Formats: sequence, C-alpha cells, structure tokens
Amino acid sequence: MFFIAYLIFVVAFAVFSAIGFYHLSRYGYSGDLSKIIIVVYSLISLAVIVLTFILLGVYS
Amino acid sequence: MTEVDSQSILLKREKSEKVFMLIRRHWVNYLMFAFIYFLIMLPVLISIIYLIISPSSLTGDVIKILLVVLTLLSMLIISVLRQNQIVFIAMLILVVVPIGVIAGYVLVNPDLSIDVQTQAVITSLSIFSLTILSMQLYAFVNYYLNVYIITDQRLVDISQEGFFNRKISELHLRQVQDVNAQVKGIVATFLHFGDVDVQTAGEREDFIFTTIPNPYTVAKQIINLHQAHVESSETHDSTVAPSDVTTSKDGEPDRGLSLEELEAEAKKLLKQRSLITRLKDHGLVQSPELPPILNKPEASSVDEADNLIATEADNDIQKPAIVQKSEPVPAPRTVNVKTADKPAQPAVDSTIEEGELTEGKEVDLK
Repeated sequence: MFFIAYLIFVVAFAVFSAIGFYHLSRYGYSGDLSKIIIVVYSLISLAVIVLTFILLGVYS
Repeated sequence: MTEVDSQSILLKREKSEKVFMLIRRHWVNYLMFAFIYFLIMLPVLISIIYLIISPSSLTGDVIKILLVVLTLLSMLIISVLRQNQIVFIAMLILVVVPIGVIAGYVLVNPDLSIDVQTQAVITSLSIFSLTILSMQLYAFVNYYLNVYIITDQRLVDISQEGFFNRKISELHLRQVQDVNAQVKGIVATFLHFGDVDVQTAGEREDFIFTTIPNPYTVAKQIINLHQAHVESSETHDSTVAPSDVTTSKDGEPDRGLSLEELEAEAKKLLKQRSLITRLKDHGLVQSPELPPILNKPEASSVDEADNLIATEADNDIQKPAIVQKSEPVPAPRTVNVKTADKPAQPAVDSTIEEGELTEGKEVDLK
C-alpha cells in the first residue's frame, strides 16, 4: 500500500519538478546556475527515491 | 538556456540597445528561505541518522511520534505557499494528505507489524524530504528569475512570483525623473543591499528595485545613463531637419525654445555683445565673433536689441522654432524630463563593462 502511495507522490513530485525545470531552462541564462541546480536537484531526488524504494523492498 | 532564449528575455529588444547591468536581488533573500527549510529539515535528518545508527530504537511509540511530527512539519512547510493558492492546494493534496493518511493509518491500527510501521516511516520521511527539496527549487526559481536589467535605453523589471505568475515591466530612460537609493537596517548596511526607487514622470508608479546589491552604484549608473540619453537626444534634436518636429512627453509637438526663452537667450547674448563692444572700443578685443542674429549694426544697445528681437520673434512666430544645424544660435532644448540635480556625468561608467547581455553571471557592481 505504501509503495503505491509513494509512487503516486513521486509522479506528482516529478510534475512539480518539471515545471521548475521548465522555468529555469526557459528563462535562465546560458552559463548561469540554472543548469547546475537542475542537475544537482535531479541527482538528490533520484538518490532519495531509489533509496526509498530499496528500503520499502527490504521491509516488505 | 540557449542563446536565443537568453536574448528573448529582453522583449522587443531594440537594435543597437546595449545592456549595462543584469541585477538579481541580494543572495540573502534566497538564503533566508534556504535556512528556514534547513532548520525544518534538521530534526528529520537527525532522526534518520539516529535510526540508521540504532535501528533497534525504532519502536512503535517512536514511529507514531515521528509520523505525527512529520505531519505537523509538512503543514508548516506548505503554509509559506498560502499566497500562491494553486501551489498551496497542490502541495496540500500531494504532501500533507499522504503523510497524514499514513500517520492516521498507523495510529488507528496499533496491531500493525513493525515492518509495516517502518515502511510507513520510510515513506513519510521520503515524502517529507522530497517536499523540502521541491520547496528549495520553488524558492530558487522565485529568487533567480527575478531580474532587473538596465540598458542604455530603458529599465526592465522581470518579476517571477511562483511558477505561474511572471510579470515584465519596463521604463524608458526618458521617463526617469529622479533616482533614490536607500539602505535600511543593520543587515542591509553590512551586506550592502538596499532599494533603488526610480521616480517617473507623470502618473505612472515608481520603478522600484528591491533588495539589490550595491544600490548606490546602481542609482549612479541609472543617472549616468539617463544623462547620456538626454544628451544624445539633445544632439539628435539639434541636427534634425526643419520639417521634423519632435514630440514631447505630452505627445504634443515640441517646437524647441519658446519665444520667451529665445528672448532671454538673445538678451543674454546681447549683453555679452555690449560688453565685447566696449572692450573692443578700448582696444582690448579684436574682431569678436558674434552670432549672426546679433551681428547687426543697428542693434548697438540692449534696448535696441530688445526691439530687434521682438521683430525677429514676430517674423518667426509663424514657423516652428527649430534651429537648423548651420545656424550658430544655441540649439533648442528639447529635454522632455526633469533630471535629478546632478552634475553632468560621463555617459558610461568605465568600471562597468558596456556591451551585450552579461550572459551567465551577475555584473560585478563593485
């Protein structure tokens, strides 16, 4: 049950992040912090999500 | 982040327009949000580390307390989004509701196994962490895409409020009437940030640059650019063809100096001529160069010159008082705005690089 609930949240989180990325890439400037922020944010998010799924799998 | 995208930020950028400054709000604006989110996240991080180090401490009571705390903290986090109702409702549904439901489920069913309760904690912690992360992104977008641009022709304010509210306003330099910079408070004084209030002509609202770094430098630069813009307008107007009529801020044709102003200018020159004539009579000056309009033999005194000017004015009354380039009479002033009471400054501050949009970094204002 938690797995499915978390999956739904991840989808919503991805949509929210995509909107933020769109703004940064659309209105940011080439060479500024926008690209770095997008990469760092994506890496941290992926790490948290993957770790969560692993832990959920371990305790299931 | 292509070249085209970066240029498109200046909507309808005019040809030969040069960007002098690209200013963001002071970093303390973003740091404040980041610090608050960090403080909220800190107890959660400590809990996660503690549970990793000592998994045996994860009992049923600890899990319940953790879930309740996470629910309350998530409500606290999204409360900062109240101004933006769409994002607020979205986060309420996506964050508070799942964490609250999970916490409620665990509290209502005390006979759940420890594994299931652990799953609930892991899910809630993960949701909470990702929420903090997404809020950081939200705050960063709001901070980073709020930009002020100063060009040699206008001031542009690009205001990003949330994800779905973007406002771009601009002010032409000729509409600038006065520029004030102010630094308020201890923090602002030590970190060198403040507001720049650009007062405009007419009933238009003031153009305010809020919490920008080095406000005095920015204000000085705006004044310099304004001065340069006014001077270039004067130069342009002095070379304009007689058939061309400039337009004033009121939208009415600007005919240069009025008759009264022309008279005053002429009288001033006549007084100078009278003085030069006297000096010449005493042999102190040889062949003084006088403007043709004053170089008529019959205008030997100020009173006579007054009559002459009146006659000249009567002759000119039917035509626009725009002076042709070839005439040495002072060029008509067609300044359409009041400038601040500042001495004439160099057109461009040499410490600030002139040229194209400063791609990828803020202009160093120091």
